Amino acid sequence: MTMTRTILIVEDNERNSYLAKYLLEHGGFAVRIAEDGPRALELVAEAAPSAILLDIQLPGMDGYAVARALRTTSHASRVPIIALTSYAMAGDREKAIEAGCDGYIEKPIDPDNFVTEIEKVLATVAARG
Amino acid sequence: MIDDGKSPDSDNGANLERVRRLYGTLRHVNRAVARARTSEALFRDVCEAAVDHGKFLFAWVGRYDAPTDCLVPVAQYGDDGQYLDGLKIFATYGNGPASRGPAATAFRTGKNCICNDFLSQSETQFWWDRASRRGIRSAAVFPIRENNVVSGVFVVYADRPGFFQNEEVMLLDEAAADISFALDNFARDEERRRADEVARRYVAIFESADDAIFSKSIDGTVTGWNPAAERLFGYRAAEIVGRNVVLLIPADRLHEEATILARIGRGEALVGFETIRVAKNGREFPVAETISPIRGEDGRIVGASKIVRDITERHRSAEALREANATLERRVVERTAELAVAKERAESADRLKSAFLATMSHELRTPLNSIIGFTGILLRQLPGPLNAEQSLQLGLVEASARHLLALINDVLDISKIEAGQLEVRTAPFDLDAALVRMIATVAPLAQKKRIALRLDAPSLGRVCSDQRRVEQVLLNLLNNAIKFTEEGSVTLVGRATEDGAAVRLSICDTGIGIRAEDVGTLFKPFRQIDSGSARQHEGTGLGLAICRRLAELLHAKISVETEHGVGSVFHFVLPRAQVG
Repeated sequence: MTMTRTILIVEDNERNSYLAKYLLEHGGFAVRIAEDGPRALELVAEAAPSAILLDIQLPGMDGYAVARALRTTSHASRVPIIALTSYAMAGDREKAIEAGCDGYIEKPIDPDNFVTEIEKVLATVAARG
Repeated sequence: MIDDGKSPDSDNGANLERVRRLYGTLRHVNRAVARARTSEALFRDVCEAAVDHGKFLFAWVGRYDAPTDCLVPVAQYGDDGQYLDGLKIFATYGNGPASRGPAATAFRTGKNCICNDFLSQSETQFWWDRASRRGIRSAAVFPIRENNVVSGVFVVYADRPGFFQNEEVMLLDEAAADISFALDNFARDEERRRADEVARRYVAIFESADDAIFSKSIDGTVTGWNPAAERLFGYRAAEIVGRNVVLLIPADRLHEEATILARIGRGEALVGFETIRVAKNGREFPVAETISPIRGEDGRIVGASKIVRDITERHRSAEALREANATLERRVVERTAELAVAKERAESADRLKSAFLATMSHELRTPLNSIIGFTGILLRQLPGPLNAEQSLQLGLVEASARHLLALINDVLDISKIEAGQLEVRTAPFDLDAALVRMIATVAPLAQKKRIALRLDAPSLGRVCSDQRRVEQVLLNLLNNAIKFTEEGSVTLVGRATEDGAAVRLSICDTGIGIRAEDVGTLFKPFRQIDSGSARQHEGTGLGLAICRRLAELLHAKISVETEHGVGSVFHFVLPRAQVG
């Protein structure tokens, strides 16, 4: 029996976090939710997530700032971060990668592929060592 | 003197008659001198007086012709044509026998030459035959001078030897002197006439000049004044001549006159000297003056001529130009400021637009995220089983949501392109692999419609462009082709262009095609053909507009060949490397 992997979802919109949580739990993950950046930084040590699903458009501290902050904390410096981008403005993805994210998933979430996408990023990061 | 004449006539009565006749002749000669206007008329009249009143056989006047060295008859009276016709008299001694006669002798010596026995003296032998035939027995020749230089001869013949006695010689000498005097007068008249002509021409120029011209003495007294000066200054010549030029100079400019006079006094001319002058009515105006010294006969400077040009107009033009320039500069400054404000506004509008687009993108998608997400969850029956009707209806919800998402994406895309928010990120990529992947992406759709989908693009290699945008264009074109084709095939043909600088990707379908009249609006936003009625083909109507704009951003070209009811070919010509 393998240990249940935990995903930390950083998302201010409850419906979206519920959707992601529902799909992830169906995919066999445990889920913790942080509604903003500061909360995510608090939770990350306790949750010890296998990956962090980070919405870029957060109120106050935006996703890029949260990613940079997470990278500087010892608990999360190596945890894969997957950005949730909204296919918006030029350079969003590149900015996310620069801020320390390992991958990105475009919103709206496609229920058919969502979990597969996350697994793919995790596999890539694991392969990288 | 060649004087071999006989003794004077001793008969007193006849002598008295002879002297009276000679004085009468001289009177007529003098009258001719007084009356004649030309040298030719004078010579003829003098000859006529000699013959008619002096009872000489005949008389002629010869002028020296330097080129031929001959004394050439220019007037005669009393010759019947036999004597002077063909007569040759050389003026220079030593030029043969024809240069030894009395005429040549008188010419050379400048003294009269009397030959009182023409047919017996050796000097005249050359002409004996001719003289004998004409009845000449004696001759007298007197030099004619012009400007104190001997220029010709006055020749008188008589039919008796010894005809020329002291009285005759004295009077004829006087007649010759009068002729010389007359010739000098003619020369002086001619010179004066020429001088007058020149003066008249200068006066005409002076009178008709557009520029004011006047002259002044060295003490500043006006001595000449032309009509243009009258017009410019308002003084008539009669009013101003004799008065001082200070009348024309404004008080605050009087000091200039001393400088000008000093320079004129040194013989200098002033050209284009700009100053202010004042007219009779007090009007002051700018002028440009050209001032030249006038010298007297002895070379001393006695005054100056002034040419004065009114440069009010020039000043006005220059002023107008300066004003225009100032106005222009002011406008440029104002306009620049306006533009700066406008630019600031536009930039701030751009920033607002960008922020708005980002917000819209997020805000519109967030609810769709839930709709599509949860519909998907329900359709996958993760929470629990659905009956057939529920599945069908939830399927419709999902299709509508996806359509709405496509609409939002397209609207945002075109807005981003038009706001300049869409960046092109160029990198080399494997076009062949990309084409395979795109065909695979649209394959399910083609299968569903039972349309053959083919790729005919043998090894195109790598291109350097924005892969994401290239794929967006091609997927759009492929989706369209499949969407508008009910049976047949869709083929993606890829070939390098002839020059090898680009790749031509052609999407060929056997679909409904496009009517010629619709081709023009094909690439414009919200122009889906057929959208009017049944909206048979669901779409945003923005796809081709986006494709065209993306093509522009990629320096690519997009075009269409189509026949209604037969099919369409969309060409996308992509440069292998981005230019610029």
